[in-house]
Amino acid sequence: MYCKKIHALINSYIDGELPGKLKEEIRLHLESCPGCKQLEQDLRALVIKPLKESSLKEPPADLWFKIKAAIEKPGPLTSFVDQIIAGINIVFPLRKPVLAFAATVLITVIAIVLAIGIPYNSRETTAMDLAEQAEFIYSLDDAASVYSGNGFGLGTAIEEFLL
Amino acid sequence: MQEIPKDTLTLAQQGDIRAFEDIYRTSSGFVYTLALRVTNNRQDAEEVAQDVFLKVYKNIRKFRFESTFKTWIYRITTNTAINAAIRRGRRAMREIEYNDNIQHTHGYEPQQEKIEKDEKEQIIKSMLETLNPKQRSCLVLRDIEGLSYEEISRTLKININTVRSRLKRARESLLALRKKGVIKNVL
Ligand SMILES: [Zn+2]
Repeated sequence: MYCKKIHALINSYIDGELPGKLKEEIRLHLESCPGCKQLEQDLRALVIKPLKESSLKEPPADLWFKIKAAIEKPGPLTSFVDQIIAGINIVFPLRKPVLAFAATVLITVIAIVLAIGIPYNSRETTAMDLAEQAEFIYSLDDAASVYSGNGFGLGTAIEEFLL
Repeated sequence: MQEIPKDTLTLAQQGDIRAFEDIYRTSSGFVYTLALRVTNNRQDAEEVAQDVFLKVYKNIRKFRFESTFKTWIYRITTNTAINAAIRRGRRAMREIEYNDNIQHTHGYEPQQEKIEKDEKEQIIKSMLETLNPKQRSCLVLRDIEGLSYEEISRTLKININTVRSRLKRARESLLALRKKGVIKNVL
């Protein structure tokens, strides 16, 4: 029974993310429980170590020049505004440039609001969350079969334990 | 990643391109690595990194020093990378393989060392492939970029207990796969 609590907290323990008293309690348990000790060693050796040891990757050398070129060329917004000004001047040949500019700003703002207002990827995000949950249920089942015969600690166990 | 000095950020906010280049030089490896691990695809990672720095350039005036710059740029990177990974989807993800050793290794390297490096790289890629992009972000921020739970929570704007459980689940599922031998154990 106690080992289940250890399983729920072992990752936070390894990461040094537990308060002192709890950390000490787990350290003592690990000294006397071969099963939990094995779990700790496996997590460290098979999962954490390969990730920690993977080196920092540098982007291709020409990336900076691509970024710099993109910054320095006139942005799409500028040319868009220019086009609208030109369009307005054709349709309404306003004598005062200030009015033409104000009209341009108004049209641009409306265009931006319309563009931003459309939640074009919200459906994808929802699908993602559902997929994550499904995967989580699957992974719990998977992990449970490795380390304990019955009822592996659920995701909420940690919150309950810490409260 | 090292924090960017405030003076550099202020200069960049005033449009100084050299200050912006300094920011790029300090952070591009971290941004690219995070993007690579979250998308698990080299082409996407390059596009994401480019996109991130253009977003940083366009929005740096809005950066108010309320969070650290590191948290801010990691947040932009994870959001951009997660969206890229979602867009690509699982089917396309298998089509393009990446091999960083070919592109980023300089000079002579003993054959044996190179084989070991390739195997390790393959293990990381296979491990990350079994996770979804949100789990990958959490795991990569922790185990590769070395962020604390508090920093991850601020970067991803999720509760610290969500960080705990997301990491726990990700690592448990990876461990189960490695123990079953689904992911080759060569280390
Ligand atoms: Zn135990």
